[in-house]
Amino acid sequence: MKSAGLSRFVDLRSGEGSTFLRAFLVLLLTISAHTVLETARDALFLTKLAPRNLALVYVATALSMIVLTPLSVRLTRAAGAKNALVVSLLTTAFVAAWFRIRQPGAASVFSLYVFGALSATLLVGQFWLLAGTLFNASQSRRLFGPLASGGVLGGVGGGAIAALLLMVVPVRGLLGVASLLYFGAALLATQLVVEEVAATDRSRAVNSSPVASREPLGPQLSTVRHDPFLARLALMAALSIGVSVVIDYLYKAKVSRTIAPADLGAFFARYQLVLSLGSLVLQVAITGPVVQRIGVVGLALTGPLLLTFGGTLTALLAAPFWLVVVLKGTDTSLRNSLGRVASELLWAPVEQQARPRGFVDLIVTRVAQAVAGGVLLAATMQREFRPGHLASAAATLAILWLLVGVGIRSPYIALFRRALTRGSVEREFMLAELDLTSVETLVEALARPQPSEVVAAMNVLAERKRERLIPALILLHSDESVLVRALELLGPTRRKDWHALGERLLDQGTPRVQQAAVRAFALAGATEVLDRVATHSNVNLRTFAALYLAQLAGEEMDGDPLSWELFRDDDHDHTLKHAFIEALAAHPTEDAPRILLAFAREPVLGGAVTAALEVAGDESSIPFLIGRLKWSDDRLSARRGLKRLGEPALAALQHALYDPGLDRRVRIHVPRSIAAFLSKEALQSLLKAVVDHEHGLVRYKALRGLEQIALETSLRIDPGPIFHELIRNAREYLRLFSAELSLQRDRAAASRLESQLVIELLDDKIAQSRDRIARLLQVIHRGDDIPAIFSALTSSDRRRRGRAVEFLDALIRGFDRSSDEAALLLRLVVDDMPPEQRAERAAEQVGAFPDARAALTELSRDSDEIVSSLSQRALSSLGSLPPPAPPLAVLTERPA
Amino acid sequence: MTTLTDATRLKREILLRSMFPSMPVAAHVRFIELLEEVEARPGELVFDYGDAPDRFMFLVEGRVVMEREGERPWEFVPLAVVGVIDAILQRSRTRNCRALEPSRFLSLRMTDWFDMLEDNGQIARAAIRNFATQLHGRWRELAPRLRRVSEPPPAPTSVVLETYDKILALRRAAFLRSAGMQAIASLASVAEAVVLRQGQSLFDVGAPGDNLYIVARGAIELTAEGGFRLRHGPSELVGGAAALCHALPSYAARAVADSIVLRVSEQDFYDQAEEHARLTRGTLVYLVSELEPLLQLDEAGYHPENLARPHDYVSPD
Repeated sequence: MKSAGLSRFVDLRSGEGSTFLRAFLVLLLTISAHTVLETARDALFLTKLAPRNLALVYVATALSMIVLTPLSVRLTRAAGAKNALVVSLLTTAFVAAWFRIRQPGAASVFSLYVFGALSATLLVGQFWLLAGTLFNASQSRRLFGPLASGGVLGGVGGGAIAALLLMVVPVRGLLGVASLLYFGAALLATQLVVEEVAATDRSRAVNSSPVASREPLGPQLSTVRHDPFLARLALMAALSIGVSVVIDYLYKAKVSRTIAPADLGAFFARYQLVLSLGSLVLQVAITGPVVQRIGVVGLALTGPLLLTFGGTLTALLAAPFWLVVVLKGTDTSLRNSLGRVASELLWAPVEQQARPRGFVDLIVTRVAQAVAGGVLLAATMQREFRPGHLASAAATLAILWLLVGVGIRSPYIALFRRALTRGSVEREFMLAELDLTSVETLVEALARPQPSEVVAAMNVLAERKRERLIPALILLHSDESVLVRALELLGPTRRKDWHALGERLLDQGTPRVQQAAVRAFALAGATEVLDRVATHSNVNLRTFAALYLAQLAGEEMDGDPLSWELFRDDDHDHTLKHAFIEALAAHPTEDAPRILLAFAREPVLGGAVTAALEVAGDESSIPFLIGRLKWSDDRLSARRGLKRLGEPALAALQHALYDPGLDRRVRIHVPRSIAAFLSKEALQSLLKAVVDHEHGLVRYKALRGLEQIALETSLRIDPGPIFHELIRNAREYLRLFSAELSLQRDRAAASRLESQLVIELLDDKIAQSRDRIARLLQVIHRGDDIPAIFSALTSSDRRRRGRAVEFLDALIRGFDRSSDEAALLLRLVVDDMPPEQRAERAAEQVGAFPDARAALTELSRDSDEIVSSLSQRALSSLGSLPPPAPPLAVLTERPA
Repeated sequence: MTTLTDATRLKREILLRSMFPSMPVAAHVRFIELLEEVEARPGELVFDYGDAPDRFMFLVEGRVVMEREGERPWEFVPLAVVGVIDAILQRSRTRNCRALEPSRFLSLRMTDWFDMLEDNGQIARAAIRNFATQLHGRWRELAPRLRRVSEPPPAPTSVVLETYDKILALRRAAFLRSAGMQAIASLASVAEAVVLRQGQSLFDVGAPGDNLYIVARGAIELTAEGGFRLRHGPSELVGGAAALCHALPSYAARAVADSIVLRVSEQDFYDQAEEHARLTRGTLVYLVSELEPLLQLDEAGYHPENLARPHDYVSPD
């Protein structure tokens, strides 16, 4: 078990410790070696050459890098990231030793400077490439900060070693020590274990690198240019190198002017030590928490923000020596800590990143370095630069870097989205227009032998308002269901071409078809046909015809319709009443709502009345329609009817939402009915209900309603209440999770039936909280397929899981402070970690449950009555309280 | 995702509407997008015994057969749904599927289908009713011939049920076995206990069939015309599939011992199903697992050894 101190420093999880420690030490030794070498290199350079030669060094370094990097990539491809790093470290050790034995001249210190820059860039790059294969995106987020501390600690060690050694050896002696340290790092690197899968990925990735392939650069440049995320990353990398080159030049020029040549070695050693100590504090105390709190994008902006401030201040104060040293220290320490971590995290979601990353790291940054060096060289050949000008240039570049970085959040999220979603599902597809091929398809379907297909084709046409495409000849069909449906659809149209065939059916059709034909003529308002039917030999048809004729004539229909003479001979199924209600809906009169509501007193007519009021209702129908919401078969009709009535219906629903006297089964359907209005007012009501309604199921339905509004409208949704609920649900998840864990850990308690019921209930409630979290996120991120992201969280592919966690984190940040709190809680909910660790971390938020009894005691006070009553019973079964006598002794459960 | 032409969408929509006329339009629309075309040449295996049941298929053209060694093959013609039983029961394929003629299918991933059930209460209801209707047809004929494992325990006099007792009774009900505790607890909180003396009627023929009845204790006999007679014991859903496809009005039920029955309105059941997705899935699993032995009985004919259902009655000891 790791110590509390270590766990504060690094969030290591099962199986990660050994890999992390080895990687940490490799970086520590590498940076120690580089710091020692850099101290010697800077001192020797400024002793032998004028600062203006630095510009030439930048250009030479950039050009050399362009030559060397392909070799490094080929080495990585051939030998793997780990072996490539080992070989590079050994090579660096030997070259450093070679410089140790050479006499320092102008050419050799120039070469040493270039070599130092090249080796540092290649080694650090190779190290992080290896680290990227050792850890996934989510692990990277946790571990890269502490891992980078290895580099900072190495800087401290290297600075201290250099400072101490310079008391007893000349500057050149440092090169031998650097060589030994590189050698040690190489030995340790051989101990790193790369996962097989990661190795395959790496090999594929390296093979696709721009420098490994023989592809021309044009298409790669085009890829980077046309991808908004890659373009910004490339621009940020170029600007950051530009800032760094300018600051380095400014710093060394100031040092050369201020410090005597004999003291340069000691100065650089002390500077490296102080810088590394500052970086260490920054790394240990700030980087980890900052990464967790401000997110990846915030992290990427920290560097340019501080350098903008520092550069501006330096320019305004005419670049005093101390401030230039601070500025240089800030740039270096940020680059090796926050900057490096931010860069790794930003690249994490890029699929097959080796090719674009190689292009950015090699081509873009080196070209930027060469350009910056070239500009400085050209400028210094003309005249000596004033330090203030250089500081202004650094500040300007930092501002540009900041501006480019600000816009990276959106493409960063888009990138995760592409990597995680399985494609969007069109939620509301409807054919606006039927093209010729579609019409042919439908006409062909109308001629199919299967009646069900013919009916289906007619329904498709009707829903697209193309009833006129249904041929009248369909009434010659032999199937009853086809004829009935055709008559239902033809009746309300203004067409008359079907009348002759329809009249034929009055004599030849089955009773059901005959009734449908009379109804169709009534719906068509064909009184002349109904007059003929009124003399038909079939008494039922005569009655129907009389009914419809009376209705069409607008005859006064006072009194209670249920006692009308018309319905005296109605059958047990209320066939006449149903027909009347249907006809009234097709030709509503002013009196229609009153008559329909009177019919509704007969319970079996409730559904028909609801359907009729959907199109014929007025304000007096609102209470009835709200009441029908409890019937699943009528719910849609009732909702449509309420929506048609507009504002008064919405107001009534808003009142119903909080009406304690309303039937529970009605009330739970009110939120979705409010959502059907798809208006701003509806949205506000639901946002309120989702937060403050006393009933959990109503809150849930309000959330479902919000989802509907989010997906079907572009109304702006206030994220405040959503974050409030996100936080509430995340806390609930963590609380129940911790309680369940405590209960399960106590095997004796967990094995009892009473506890088992509680555990099963908690399982469901935990899943429910998670589901609600997903739905809440869907409301504020309507364009994303959030269920697909949540499904990725349970993927067996750890990289996919890691990406999903990062995506959710990036998605949720950036609204306000509550969103940051929600993001922190969400990470606790979704992050990959052992259950005990999740519970331990959740303790700050939801308290700790030391044992089963404590968990059950807490749960027995739960606001959910079922949770509390089952928990009380489970607690009693553990012997805390005398168990109540079971009221039904026989009904005891036995585990299967 | 491939882009579908309008004509293809329409063909699919017509097919779905003709196969599932009661399914809501929104469901058809979503279905259309999720379907994938599969073609098979004569003799080609569409899936094999032991394969993962990740999807089921609508046979659009051709003729296929599902086979298992030692059992009679099942043959399918267009508009049949193929491979749904294993898929719902989430077990490896128990039969292969081989094309007898050039055949074309539209296949749907189970995960997509379950997503749809979860998102849309209407689809969930339609799916349950569809399966229940299929099951009910066979059940009505075969259920009374099923052998009993044991007799129910004798019933003491009436008592009041607490929610806890209702939870225990519902938890043992076969159709709620996969529903999850929260759904069961929610149903228990709205379930009403009906106490019946021996001989008392629970409902008569023609009564509205808008409730589900679960025997908490005692025994209920279900009768219908044609001499249908079936005894339900503790934790059984009275009427089985009939209760889930509005077919209860053609039956009558009475207590054959002092009994307690839990009554849950169908509306409450589907309201809970909208909130608890596992309730819908669990009910479908129940229906399919009941349907499968009856399908086999259909083929095998009546044989006492084939008719035992171990969960008919649970031995009191």
